[in-house]
Amino acid sequence: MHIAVLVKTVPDSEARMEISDGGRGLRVEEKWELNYFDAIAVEKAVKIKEAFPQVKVTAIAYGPRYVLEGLRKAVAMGADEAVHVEGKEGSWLYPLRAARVLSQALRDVGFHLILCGRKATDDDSGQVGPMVAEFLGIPHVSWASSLEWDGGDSLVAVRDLGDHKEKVRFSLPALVTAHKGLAEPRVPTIQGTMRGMRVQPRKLQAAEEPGTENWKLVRFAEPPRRPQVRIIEGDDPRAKARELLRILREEMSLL
Amino acid sequence: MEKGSIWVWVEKADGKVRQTSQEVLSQGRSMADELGGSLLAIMAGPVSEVNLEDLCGLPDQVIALEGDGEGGPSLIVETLEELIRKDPPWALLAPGTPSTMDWMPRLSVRLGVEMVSDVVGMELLEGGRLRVKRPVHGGRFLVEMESQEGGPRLLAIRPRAFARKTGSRSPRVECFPMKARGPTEVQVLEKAQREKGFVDLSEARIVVSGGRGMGGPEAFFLLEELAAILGGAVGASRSVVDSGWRPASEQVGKSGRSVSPDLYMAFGISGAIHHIMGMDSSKVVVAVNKDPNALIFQHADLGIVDDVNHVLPALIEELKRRS
Amino acid sequence: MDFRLTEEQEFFQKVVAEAVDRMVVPLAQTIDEKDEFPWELWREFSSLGYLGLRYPENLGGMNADKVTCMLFYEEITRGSVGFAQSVIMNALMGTHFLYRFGTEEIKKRCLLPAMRGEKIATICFTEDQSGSDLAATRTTATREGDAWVINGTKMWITNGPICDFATVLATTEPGSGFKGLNFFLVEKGTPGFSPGQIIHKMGCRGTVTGELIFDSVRVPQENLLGEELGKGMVYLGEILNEIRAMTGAMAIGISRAAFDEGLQYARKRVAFGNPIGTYQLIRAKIAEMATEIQASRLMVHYAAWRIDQGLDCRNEAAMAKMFATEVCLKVVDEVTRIYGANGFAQEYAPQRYFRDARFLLYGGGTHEILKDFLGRQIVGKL
Repeated sequence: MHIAVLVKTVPDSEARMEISDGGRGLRVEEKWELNYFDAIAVEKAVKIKEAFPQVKVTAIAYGPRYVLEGLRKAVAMGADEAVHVEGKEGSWLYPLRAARVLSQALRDVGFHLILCGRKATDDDSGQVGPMVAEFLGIPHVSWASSLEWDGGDSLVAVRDLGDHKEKVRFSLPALVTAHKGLAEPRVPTIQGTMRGMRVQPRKLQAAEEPGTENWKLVRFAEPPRRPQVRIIEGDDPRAKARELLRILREEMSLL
Repeated sequence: MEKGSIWVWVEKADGKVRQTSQEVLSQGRSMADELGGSLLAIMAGPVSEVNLEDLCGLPDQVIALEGDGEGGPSLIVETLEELIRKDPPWALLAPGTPSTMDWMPRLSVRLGVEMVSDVVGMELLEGGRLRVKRPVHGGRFLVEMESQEGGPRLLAIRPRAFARKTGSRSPRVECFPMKARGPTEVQVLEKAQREKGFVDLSEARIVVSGGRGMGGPEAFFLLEELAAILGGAVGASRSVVDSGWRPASEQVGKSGRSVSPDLYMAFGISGAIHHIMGMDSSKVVVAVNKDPNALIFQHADLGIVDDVNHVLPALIEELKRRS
Repeated sequence: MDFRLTEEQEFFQKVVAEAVDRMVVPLAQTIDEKDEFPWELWREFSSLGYLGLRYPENLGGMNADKVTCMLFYEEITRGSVGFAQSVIMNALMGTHFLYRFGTEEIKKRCLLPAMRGEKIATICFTEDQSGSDLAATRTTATREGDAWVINGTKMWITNGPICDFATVLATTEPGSGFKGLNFFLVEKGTPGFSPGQIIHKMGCRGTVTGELIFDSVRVPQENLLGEELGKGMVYLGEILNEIRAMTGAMAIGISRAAFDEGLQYARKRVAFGNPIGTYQLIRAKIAEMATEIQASRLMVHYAAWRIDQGLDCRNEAAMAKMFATEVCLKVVDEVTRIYGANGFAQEYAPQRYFRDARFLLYGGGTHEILKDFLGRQIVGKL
């Protein structure tokens, strides 16, 4: 069985970012990491592989050179192969285009199950997973916090959506997006790290898209800043609590 | 495509229209008015279950999709595609929830039209150009996009991004058959709703959140009490969830939920960046922490430097006294 | 000159850094406070296999080049200095001579398990009367039939009291100085071999350091780790530069840990209405520390690079160790100053780095010895 994992490489949480080019660009420090939710997806795929040895795991990434970072990590964690579909800078903001490209790669590579994170922490859109499923004409289950075999081609997943929880059953081929809880990403062993260091991904070219742009990037902006905090003084916690409630009630009409 | 025809997908919970849908209807009404067009509300369920009051007098027309229960995402996609191809709207808006994000991206592929999710701001410019704003990088930046010609504008709106308003329209209600499409691909085996009175984090007007500074899981009972009094939701920091004190569904932050309440109260939370990313769009932030250097104070409007275990009970008592 | 780390080296460092952040950093303070060997962490971390990084792949290692090794030493030390000492003992000094000279049996019995952390290794040089002055080693190894009998007491042995095997420096010709020095393997359970007193240290707590007693310890011929008798110092010379560079890497790890704390504190601590990082004197300290840490790193990596290239680097390694250590001592001092009174509180990390850093002064060679050595090298024979 073949599990394909879609991995996005995003700026590291420590990477410095600033608006550039009069707002038209975002300059990001060259520090990359595997998207948190995709790491969960990779871990789940590898765990399945460890439980069922005939399973093969392929990590697929789309974008410029830096996406190698995410592929290395996926391989270090246990993915068998890596595929890099080359793409331009800026593709991180356009889910439909990425989904189209990734779907073609998935057709080339083959799959029974596709796993990916429920969203990427750079564009926060969560669109690519369901879009890829639609391109490929397969069902998808999002926000999966657990995934188990139900015999044959059948899988059961649990989705924890905040206001309700549900258990669903579906059949392969399918796509599942990973939520926290599906798996805990492992720390690679020395052998894994070596494999990650040596990875030579299979390169694919994205077909040139004739499609129209429906949305054009105008600019990046910083959200409005909060003014300096107002510390509430008081003789004791009771007095401070009273004052806080007064401010919330009378000055801010929040209560 | 009728210029200015705005469609809004409306969601229900427990038979009532959800607050997030009312917010989107309100914004849809504003847009329709500005464009001189009409507002159509679409929802799943039989005509008989349409409660016009819930729709706040906003839409001009309502379409109820009658068919197999709520309709899974694939049925919604099929049905909406048919409706759109018959008579494309200028824009289709939906509240950005896990449910709508299961079908809108798929619809986007069907129609070959890009969509924008997590929209927090909208502006109509002359010439009918639409600009939308959405957060990226966990809210560190906002990106502004402008719609180009071609295809309905597909938008998923962040909960609480827009205010609710009311109108005085009496819409006509029609039904349309929800697509029936063979055996459903994803079969729901069990569905466990939260208890009545449960307030969803992303929809809550008030969120009270606890971090490591709470000291332990038992202290969260106080937070639950505070939330109940205020009619709010309980949130938690990542370390508290990782330690097993609170469930993952309560986690606010980069790898958890993003919230935009009117009031966010952070108790014993240090203010690490991944948490800030989840709540920085709150209108008013109150931080309580005994460490005066805690980073959370750099992202708060009001602060109390004191032990949360003293302040919380005091707050609860004061609130009880007042009522 | 390409000063960059390769992409592979950067990736390696990142993976190890993440492992350290996840597994070691959260426990560092407790390890220091309790001063107990963290057995669970040891098992968890060493099972990942990084302790074997120096050794070939077919043994389970990764044949890492020396620069990559330095990255490893730096990251693990950044996490917890005490824990790092035990880890690096297994990775380098405690196992090297077994790898270099041990029989297949010895490798299977001791080296391979040590690479996975299943056995704890150590090396014994120091004695009560000899530290820098190795020629004055008094532990003896006497031939008896086809065995060697070892007698003596070793001090300041990292991992000593808990080790499963030890590489012991002993003289086969008492009174003949360097010429008589050899390395012998002694395994736990051998009659006469026992741990002695434990030393309670001011820093690097969590690793167990103490005495090892050799009372007529009998070991077979193959436990002589060496091809010829009397070549102990020559063999040590093969890894002395690496040991010195490694110590420099450890210094960088401590410097970085302290510096990061100081920087964070400067950004958030408010005094006179502003974060103290806005004030020039604090900025000056930050700038100086960053500059010197950068210089340390370049020196340590250069020495390691020279080892990889097969170039002589006795001077460069000694310089790197000395410089990185002196920088570290300054950095840990400055960071406690940035913390003000909080630098004195056990609740905060700077005091721990301050105490931990002192071991660098004697580990890998005292600076008095190193300066004398360098001075002689550079001035030349007069």
